[in-house]
Amino acid sequence: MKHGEFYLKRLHSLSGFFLLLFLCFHFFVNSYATVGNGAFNTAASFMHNLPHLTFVEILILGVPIAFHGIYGLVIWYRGKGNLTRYGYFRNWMFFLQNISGWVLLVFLVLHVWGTRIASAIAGETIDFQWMVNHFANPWFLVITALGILAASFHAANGLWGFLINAGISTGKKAQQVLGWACGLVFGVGFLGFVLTLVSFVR
Amino acid sequence: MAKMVEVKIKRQASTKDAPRWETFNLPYKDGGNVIALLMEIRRNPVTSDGKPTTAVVWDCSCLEEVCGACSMIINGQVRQSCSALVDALTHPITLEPLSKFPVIKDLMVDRIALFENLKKVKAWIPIDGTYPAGPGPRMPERDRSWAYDLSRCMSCGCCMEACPKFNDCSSFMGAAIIAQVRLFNTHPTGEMNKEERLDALMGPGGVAGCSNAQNCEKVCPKKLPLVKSIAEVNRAINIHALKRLLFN
Repeated sequence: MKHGEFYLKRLHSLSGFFLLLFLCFHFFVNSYATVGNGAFNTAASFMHNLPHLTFVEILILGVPIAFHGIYGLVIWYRGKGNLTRYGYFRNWMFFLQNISGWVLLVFLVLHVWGTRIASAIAGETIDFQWMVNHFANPWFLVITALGILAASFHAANGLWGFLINAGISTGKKAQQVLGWACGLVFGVGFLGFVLTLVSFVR
Repeated sequence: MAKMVEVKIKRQASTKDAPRWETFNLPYKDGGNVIALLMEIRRNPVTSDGKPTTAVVWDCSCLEEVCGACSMIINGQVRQSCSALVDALTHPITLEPLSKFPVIKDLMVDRIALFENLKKVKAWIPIDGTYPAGPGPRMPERDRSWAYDLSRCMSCGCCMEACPKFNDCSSFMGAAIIAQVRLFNTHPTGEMNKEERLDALMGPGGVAGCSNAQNCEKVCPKKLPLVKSIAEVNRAINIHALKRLLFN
């Protein structure tokens, strides 16, 4: 395929954009925890009782995540960081995008196993109390906070790059303004997720 | 005692040899550039510990930052050695050859890959034919005013040297190549062959290799709008790719 690299990279961008939308949705549903015990349980049971859940989870989420992660590794492998010589802001962002990608890859395996597959095998229902018990372990709390940090950064900075790869933000001014906007997305996403996390700590 | 300048140079006897460092203590010359230091070494090739050595080999031509031949890594940053004034540099001065191109000898590298890539994307305007085609269409001033900037590219390779995606593990062609496609696709005559150039940039080493680290524009000696050029080519190529997918 002469144009394979091009289409794979664009698919990587598009899957990243889709995952950003999912992350927003995930964040919103989780944020019910800040409202209260009952509100979270209602939201959680609604999600668990969605029709064709396994199909949705594997095809709509699993496949894009797996593709984005695996092709992300290819992109990472083809890069050679040079921060020590060229310590410019955008070069830092490029470096952090790679690092946060790696953190996410490890975190997502733990996250999907810990809060979905393991509990499903054990036949447990995930509700507010389950989350409280889960985060009673300080390790899970720290790992999840790190995962949230990586996810918020990777999604926000990824959005900034997506807009350039799509040919939308071509000008310097636009890229600058969107840089601030994506910084805000990162800040709001991270803080919001952390507030949600804190409401499980008893 | 006369003022001296200390210069550390990464030397390499040939492409296959391992690099080694040599230090030189050279008499200071008012207003001199890095090339003047290298000429002084050529005149008297003796290291700082008094050992005779071979003259350092380097590449240069115009000496006014328009030819692109004298790119090297000066104090860790890629730039043109003709415009690197000794007074403006921190001392001791370190000189290294470009790391992304094969070293021929000492500070001289082979940038042929860059010119081969310009050929791959057809960075020219084909005007030869069997009969005179007459005068071409005129270029509107609104395009000319920024396209002229891109025509100042001197193929020095600085953007490639500083790019984290331009290396042995990737076939990415680099910012200068993409900017030239934008230049020739904007030219009213060049525009007649724009699909060929966009096709080439959709292929291996094309625009998809960019990860927006944007070092290219920071180090470009000619201050070319490389970041905007890559983004504009992204847009043109996405539209081109959609047309290919939907209407072919």
